[in-house]
Amino acid sequence: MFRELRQSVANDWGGGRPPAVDEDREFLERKEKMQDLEQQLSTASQQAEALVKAQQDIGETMGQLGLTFFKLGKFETEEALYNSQRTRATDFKRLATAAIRASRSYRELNAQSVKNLDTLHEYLGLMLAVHSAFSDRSSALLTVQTLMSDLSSLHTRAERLEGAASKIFIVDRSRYRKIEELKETIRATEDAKFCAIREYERIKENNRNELERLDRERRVDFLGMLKGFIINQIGYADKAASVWAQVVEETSRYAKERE
Amino acid sequence: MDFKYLLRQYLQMMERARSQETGIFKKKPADFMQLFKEVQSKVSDVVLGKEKPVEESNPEYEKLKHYIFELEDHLAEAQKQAFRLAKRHRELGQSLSDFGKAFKLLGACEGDSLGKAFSEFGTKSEFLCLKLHKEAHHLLMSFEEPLKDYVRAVQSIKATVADRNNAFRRHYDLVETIKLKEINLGKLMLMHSEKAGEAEIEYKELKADSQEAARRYETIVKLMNEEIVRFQEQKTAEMGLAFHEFAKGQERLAKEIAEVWRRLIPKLEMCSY
Repeated sequence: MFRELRQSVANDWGGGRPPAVDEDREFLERKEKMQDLEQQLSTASQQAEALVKAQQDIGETMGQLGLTFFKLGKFETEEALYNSQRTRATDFKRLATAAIRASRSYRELNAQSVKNLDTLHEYLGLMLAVHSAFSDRSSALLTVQTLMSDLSSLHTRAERLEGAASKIFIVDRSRYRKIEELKETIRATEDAKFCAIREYERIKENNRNELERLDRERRVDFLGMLKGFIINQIGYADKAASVWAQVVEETSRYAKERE
Repeated sequence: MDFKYLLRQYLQMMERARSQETGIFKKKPADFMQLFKEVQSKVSDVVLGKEKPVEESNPEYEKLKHYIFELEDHLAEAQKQAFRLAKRHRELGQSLSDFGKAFKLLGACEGDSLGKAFSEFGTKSEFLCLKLHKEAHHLLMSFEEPLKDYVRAVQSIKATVADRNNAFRRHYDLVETIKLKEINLGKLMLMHSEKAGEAEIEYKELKADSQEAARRYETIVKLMNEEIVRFQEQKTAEMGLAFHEFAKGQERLAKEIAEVWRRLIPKLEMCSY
């Protein structure tokens, strides 16, 4: 763990061997894109919540307006002494009915909007998995770099020891043993490096596939979200237009009277 | 209690006493004193305000007053809701604008045809913000304002109710005062007091004031009755027009929303994956 920590610090200071440039560039671009996407997703997600709240509020206020006029209509009916009052009471109730219907339509629209726009929240949630995948890749790369750096050190030591041994004519058993142990360590480290590189490549490949899949699915789901949202908005608007058109028709004589 | 009857009784007794000369006072002081005491106690009750506050006891007028006071409450609530609804339109507009901007930025991340679709979506959303703001303004002008006028008209009627109450009270007070002055004047004349002349002038002035107060009260009642009929008809017409405008605005907005979103569908169809 400490070796990896040192390596990580060395990497930060540019001391480690850099991986192949092309791959890295592609990965870094993708990573940057993901970060940008996450930022925009977060904003869009917040705005979607605000929109849903605003739709809910307008629906509720429309409903309260309807209720108020319903009570007014009832009151005028009970207190009516003149025909003009009875007519007005009918008009109040007419408006009240339309407002309450419009309010219900808003409520339905909002429930649908919540479902549509939930896609944003879902993909924002998936960003955690993306972070995790990037983190796995970084760890694997660090392991590889650490082992490569270790090997480099081991080779250097081995060369030093062998060089010194060749200059002495007397056979030094302990030095010979050290060289053999070192060669064993080098072999083991080579194996570990080989496994680490394989693991790193596996993670890279897995990440690439997953990210491509995420992109594909996200594009399909986002398009579906837009379509769904728009279709629901149109559905609500058509219903509302029809409700209010009826009131326009029923109250048109007042406009004519003014003319 | 009929003061005129009492006064007549009193004056007749005084006349009988004067003509007989034996003095009825000596014969039946208790009767006389009792009569005077009754008049006296009635006068002090009125003067001390021990009686109930003076109001018209007219069931139709009571119904009208109750109607006006309750109507004001209902209308104030309606006006408040109309104002709130305009505010909610503005808020939804702002929300759509922010939402549109966020989607445009998200689209820039995605790129390609999806990015274009997001961008168009964002633009439409921002455009609808303008429509909602426009409708909010229309709501205030054509719907909330007439309701405000309605409230003001009701408050004006309440002021007239107060005027009518005052006129009635003034007339009633003058009538009661005149009764007392009549009794007093009768007393002074019997006693051949020097103050009788002055009292008579005062009495005549009060009579004139009372007639004026009666005329004023009757005028207010007449105007009020005419005003109520006109008020009811006018408000039906005004409210009808306000509702027409409100419904027109809502229909127009709904149609615009539907049209704006509908235009986007073919563009989305082109992006299918």
